[in-house]
Amino acid sequence: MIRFYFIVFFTFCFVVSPCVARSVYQTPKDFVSKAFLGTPPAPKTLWLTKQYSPTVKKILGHQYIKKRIQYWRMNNKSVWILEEIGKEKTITLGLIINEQKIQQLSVLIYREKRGDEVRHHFFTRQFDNAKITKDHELNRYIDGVSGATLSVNALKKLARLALYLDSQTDE
Amino acid sequence: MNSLPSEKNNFQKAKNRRVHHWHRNIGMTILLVVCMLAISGMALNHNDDLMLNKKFVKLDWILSIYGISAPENISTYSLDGNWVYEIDSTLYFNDSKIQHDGGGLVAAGKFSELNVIVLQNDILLLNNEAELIDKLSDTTDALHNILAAGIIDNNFIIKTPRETLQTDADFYEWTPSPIQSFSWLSPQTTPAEVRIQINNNYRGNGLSYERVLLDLHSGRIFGNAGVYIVDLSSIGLLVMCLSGVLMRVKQKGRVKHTKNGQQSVVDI
Repeated sequence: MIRFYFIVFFTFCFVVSPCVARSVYQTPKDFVSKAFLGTPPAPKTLWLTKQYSPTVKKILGHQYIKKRIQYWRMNNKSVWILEEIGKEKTITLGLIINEQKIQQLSVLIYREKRGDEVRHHFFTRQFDNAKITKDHELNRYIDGVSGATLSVNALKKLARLALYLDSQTDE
Repeated sequence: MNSLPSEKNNFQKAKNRRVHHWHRNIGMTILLVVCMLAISGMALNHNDDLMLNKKFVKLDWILSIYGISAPENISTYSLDGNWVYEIDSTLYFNDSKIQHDGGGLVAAGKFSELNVIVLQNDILLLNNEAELIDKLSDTTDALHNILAAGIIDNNFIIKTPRETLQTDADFYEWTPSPIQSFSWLSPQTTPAEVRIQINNNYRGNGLSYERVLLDLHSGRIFGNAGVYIVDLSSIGLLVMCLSGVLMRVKQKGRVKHTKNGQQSVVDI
């Protein structure tokens, strides 16, 4: 009987799990709420006009997927929900920027079939306190994850983008 | 009884003529197929340079050979001159493909100067240039299993299994709608010109020139008969190679080298 349960468990782990295309680890609404300890401010809107286009393109290698970005700001803290394609599907990230440094980076929704190791804390904690340089690069080296290179690249790009957008909307 | 030398020569000549005859006739018969094989083979050899796998066939007669035609029942929505439709899970805004992972198309309408496309698990806001303004599922958890959408009294309303929600002009806040009865957005009759657009979009990405050339090269484009014709032509080509070699050998036997180095053909 124990052998049977082992077989079922490993079948699930190796066959079923990779087929789950959309994994919601945390809803964006929940992320925003927790970032402001349950009382988020009213959302604001940033339109990605021509003013931002060159830098956004430099950071991402292309224009951002949307023209309008919603964000939340209270004092020096801002929260961003951003998306970027990993290999084929979009990865939704939640980023908290505090004092122009990354306070938290979380993978909220992962839609790719492989590479979801990037959601783990051992990887995302590398971004803690990261800042952006004048060249719009991260001021630290981020170790990759074997087999998830494209997802890692997507996260690094979005981290840079969030820091850039935060600097542009700083009050 | 041994045959006479003149009889033997005559027999040899007749045999040579037969080889010539067959060589010529086979050559003429398979000429077109060999040309087709040679041209398609050369094109396939330079597939990457010619980008044949990225160029798609739009010729009706070729597409009809493959039986490619757009499905008949496609829901189309008119948004002030722009058309939204979905073919085989691919969403189109006029001629532009819209990338998304929000499920099937539920409805579409014009609201607050925006083209609003309602999917099962997402709402996309597009401008008239087909640029994505916003994707609402990112920040709004309620947008799941959307069943229908409608516009009434300056409100955009969606229906989910749990409730009916309405939003503001910016699509930021979704609140339960007090409006009880109104008509939901529904597909419109597809005009002929839009139908042509749909056909072109469906066909345009369905069949690459590489596929056609591969099928032409193997003969499969003409069905099983085509494969057999290419097989027979290949056998014919092999026979021609052998008959060509045979004729060459025979010819060599008839060549006599003269003292001053010149060659002359001697009829045996």
